[in-house]
Amino acid sequence: MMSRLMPILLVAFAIAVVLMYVRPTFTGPIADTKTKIDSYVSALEAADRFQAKEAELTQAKAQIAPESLERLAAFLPDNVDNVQLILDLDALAARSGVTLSDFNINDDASGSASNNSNGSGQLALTGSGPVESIDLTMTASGSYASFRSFLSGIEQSLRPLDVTNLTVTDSASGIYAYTMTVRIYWLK
Amino acid sequence: MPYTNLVAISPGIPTSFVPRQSTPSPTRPQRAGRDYFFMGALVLAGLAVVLAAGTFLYERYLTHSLETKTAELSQATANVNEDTVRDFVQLRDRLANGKMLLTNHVMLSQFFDDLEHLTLQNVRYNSLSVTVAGDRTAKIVLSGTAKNFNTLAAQSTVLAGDKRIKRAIFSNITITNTNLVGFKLTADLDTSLVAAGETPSATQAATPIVPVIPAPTATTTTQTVGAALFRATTTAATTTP
Repeated sequence: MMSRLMPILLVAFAIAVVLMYVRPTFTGPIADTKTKIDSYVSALEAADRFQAKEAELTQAKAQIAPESLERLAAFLPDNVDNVQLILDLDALAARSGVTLSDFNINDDASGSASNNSNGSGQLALTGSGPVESIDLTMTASGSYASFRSFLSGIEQSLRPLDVTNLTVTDSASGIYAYTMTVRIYWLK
Repeated sequence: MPYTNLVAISPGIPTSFVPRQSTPSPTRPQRAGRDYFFMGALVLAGLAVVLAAGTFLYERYLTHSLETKTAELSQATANVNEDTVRDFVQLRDRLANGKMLLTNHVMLSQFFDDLEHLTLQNVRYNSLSVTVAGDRTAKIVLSGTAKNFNTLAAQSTVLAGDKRIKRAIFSNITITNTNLVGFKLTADLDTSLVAAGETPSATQAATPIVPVIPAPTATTTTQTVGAALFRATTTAATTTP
């Protein structure tokens, strides 16, 4: 009787081992661990690529002159720094023979410059949107030649200033009144 | 008892003298089959045990490998300097967006240059308003006076000859108290007149159709070129309509 039952018990044991341990272990913990390992391997490969890219970029950046990097940082600063900009504009105006007054920041126009809006004064830029902008309105007075000199200085400023609105009003004395809105950009 | 009656033969007495072939005992193959089945079951159980042990070891190996990878990844993460990455990202943003800003940079000086070239001497402007739109086109509103209607017509023709100044419309045309012709001019400016990145084509480039820069005279030596835009020029009326 025992000799007949033993093979059946062994087969049942084998089936039980496969069904209750081997298969669940393969489909459960082993599969999960393999998935994690695969993702970690991908991450490590990415880390290797990152290190290679970092070395390449470091080498490329080292070839840029520090003065150029400083000029680039001044070109698109990390913050709006509009007070310093007003001081610079005032100095430029003084050199050009223009008198500036009444600086106003238009808060409503502030926002990401990447918003591709065609609204009045909204200068369209495309890209991922790390640049923000704000409008600065100022009034000035001076002769036409002085104003042209001032306008040229603004346009050739290291920090890009886009004149989005300009009004010139005549005067009998030859000193004209100017109201201009310039858009300032900075990096977020 | 008569012999014709049937008498039961004792089971021990053979009924025939022909020897019978002995039939194999049925118990032997059954036993051998049971042995094979047992052996097969034993092998199967052994394989299952080996498989289970292999699974267990493989799981342990994978767990160890995962721990190793985790440590390597932690080390790789620790090697990443966030400040360096931020610097690179900022530099990339500055370069990419700086190029875009330069391309779209508004330079109204070129518009003023062209306006000076395109304005006739007997035309003066009292006010000017320029509004730059998002697509780098611009809308201008000018008010001014011309010496007479012929001058205004000539000015209209000159402006119409520049394709970068579109929809130039003269309106509010009136005779002023000083017998000048007052007008209001609205027009749209092409992007090439506004954005620095736009280079005007040769055919559209502004050409000084009428020399508007008056020759310096005793009365106008202090008058700048630009001022001629907003002041009446009375000295060069003979050269222009």
